[in-house]
Amino acid sequence: MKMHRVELHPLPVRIWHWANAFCFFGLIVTGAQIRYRGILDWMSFRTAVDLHNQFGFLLIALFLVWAAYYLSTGLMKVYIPDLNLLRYIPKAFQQAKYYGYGIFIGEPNPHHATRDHKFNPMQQMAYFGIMFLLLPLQIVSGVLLWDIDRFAGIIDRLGGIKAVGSVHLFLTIVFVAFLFVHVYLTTLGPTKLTHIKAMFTGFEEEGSL
Amino acid sequence: MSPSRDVPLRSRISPLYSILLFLTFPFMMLLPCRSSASADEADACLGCHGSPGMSMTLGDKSTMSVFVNSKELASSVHGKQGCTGCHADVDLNKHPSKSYASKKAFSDQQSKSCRNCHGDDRLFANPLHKRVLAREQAPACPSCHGSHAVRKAAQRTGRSSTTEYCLACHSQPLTKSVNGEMLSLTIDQIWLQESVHRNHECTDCHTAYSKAVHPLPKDLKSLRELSHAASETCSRCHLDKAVKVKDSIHAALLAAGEQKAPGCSDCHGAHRIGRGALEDTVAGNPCRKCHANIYDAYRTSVHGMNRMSEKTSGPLCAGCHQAHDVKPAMASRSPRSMCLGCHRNFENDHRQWLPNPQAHLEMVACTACHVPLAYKRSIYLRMTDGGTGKLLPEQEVLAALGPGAGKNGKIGPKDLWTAYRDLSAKRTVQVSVAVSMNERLNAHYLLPKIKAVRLCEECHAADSSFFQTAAVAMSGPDGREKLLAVDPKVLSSAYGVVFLKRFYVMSGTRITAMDYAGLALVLGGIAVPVVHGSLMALTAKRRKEKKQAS
Repeated sequence: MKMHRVELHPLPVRIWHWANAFCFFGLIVTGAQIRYRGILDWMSFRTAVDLHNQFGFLLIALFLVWAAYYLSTGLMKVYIPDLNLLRYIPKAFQQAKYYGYGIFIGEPNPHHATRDHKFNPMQQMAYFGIMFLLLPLQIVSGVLLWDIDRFAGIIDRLGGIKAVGSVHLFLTIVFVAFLFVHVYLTTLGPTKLTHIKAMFTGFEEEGSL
Repeated sequence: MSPSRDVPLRSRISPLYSILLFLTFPFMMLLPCRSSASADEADACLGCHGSPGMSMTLGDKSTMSVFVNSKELASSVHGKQGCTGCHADVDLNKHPSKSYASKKAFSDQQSKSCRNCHGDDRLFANPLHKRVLAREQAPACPSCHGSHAVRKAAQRTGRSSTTEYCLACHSQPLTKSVNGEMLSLTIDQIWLQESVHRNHECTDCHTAYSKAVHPLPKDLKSLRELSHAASETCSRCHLDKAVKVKDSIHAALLAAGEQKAPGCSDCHGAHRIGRGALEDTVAGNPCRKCHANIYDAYRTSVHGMNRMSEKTSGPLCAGCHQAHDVKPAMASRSPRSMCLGCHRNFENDHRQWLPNPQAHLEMVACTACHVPLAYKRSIYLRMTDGGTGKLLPEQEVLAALGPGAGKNGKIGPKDLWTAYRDLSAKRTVQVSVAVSMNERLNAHYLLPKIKAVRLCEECHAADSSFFQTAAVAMSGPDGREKLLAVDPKVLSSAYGVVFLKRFYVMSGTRITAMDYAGLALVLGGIAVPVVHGSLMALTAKRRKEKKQAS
């Protein structure tokens, strides 16, 4: 196969991705400390809460940067799955078949990543759900929990602090579970480090995703 | 009247007068007579007994004046009786040589003399006499009528206030038996003089009584009943206080038949109402009668220590609990409203360092942080009516819980959830939570501000001691708080999402079911790379061969 370099991740996207990763890591560590104080003893409760809030607001800022960049460049379409289910479902099935079988026998990846068509149908569905539903929900629940005095009325209308807290925790668990899958998938390129290097350099061998 | 103990002891007339008497008595017998025998007799007696200071020593070593005021004697209704009219054992030829065991014995002996003339028929026609003289320790006649200035009791104090009239008897040692309890009817005039009611007459309060009327007291079951009956008297003038008292826990206790509940006189005194009694009351001493252990706890608190060190800024009992509308102590209710009276800036003070102060201060009682950690905390689930905000009746909650609830130990999360569901079908139910002290007593060991709990981890920790006990707070039949112990797992149960909507302590009351669900999900996430990676490793050889072949 003729291989040539394709720019997949422009610099702003790479900066956003790693900053986002840093925030996720910080939020998971401090969140675990907040939830399991007495079992984990990495830092004081107060420090954990303060850092969690700071990481949280940084994540919100990054989310806004992400939204602004993708909207302004027209790249937001990479997240939008094909709304024609007759086209989308066969493609998604083909991709699932690749991950579930073809990849083991050395079949080529049916999806060829480009800057404007970065995600395969399964990734599109996953990242669309994360960026348009789960992360906003996590941000909203986090902001509500950040100042329960200020948002007491909204929290009450949403079912109370236990319900909001449970939603926040559930989404955290989903993100953590997904992180294992996400990191593993980055190793499924032509080489184990192809996708990871691409997130540093911005370039990747065409069709290798 | 009980017979006097007329003990024939040696005469104990003081030595000086003994000598004078011995020297002058024969000559007195020879003194020129006045127009009547009685006048002569009186003159003869007054020759000695008219000297102020003349006294005799009695058997109990007490001294009794034997001075007779001639003017009083002359104005007495018995003025013309002469001395021997009453002192029948004395005449101009002989003088008694006996003594008496005590003043009481002497008075009793004299009372016998009175009753020689004042027969029982006439005497007992007066109901007051009938009642007073029926007593075992009945007062002697002179106690009320005087000894030489004898008058009718009413005449005796005719120009004086009714108070003086009453004191004619009630300044004497008087007691009344109420079902075996002895009630002192003795009033010290000094009490009245020091009282804030000093300008009132006895009859202003004891309205059923007057100089003319002295009805028999109602049949009383106990002294406590008398005290509470007296409170009704106070309420005639102090209606504002009476209204407050009716809203108090003490009134509720009394209504429930608890006679130990205090009435007005328990705190203010019965007759010595005034600064002294008030200081005593303000110092909490009446409260100590029933709440001794709480008072002892208070003494060791920052409030008590300040008070004892005469900084005087420390509040006493009424400073927090109010003087009259004393509310029922509620373990489940934050005492914040009490504290706010003095600590008005508390919200700003806490805002300086405490995140979400409103949520904290709403659910965490002041005492939960301002009492040493040695005393246990507890979580109270207050089941209230959404409309009135009042605790739900105990019966209703217990009925909703059903007879099976808590059979296998404490009432669990599911029991509470079903009860909440059933109760909510009938009315709007709110379950609010209060972090407070395990026992009401311990709420009084308040610390100085600087020593208060400030470490988040005391609450926000998986192993926090704050969440080891929990109870549902309900309203008892008398309006007092009733507590029902529940399994503290209620606090960290997923069922709580339904009925403990406003209570979540990070780390402290995390939902444990979410931990297991989270663990399962994360393990699922880990399983993907493990399983898929393993398959990739197992099929690597085949891919390599295919690549080489192509």
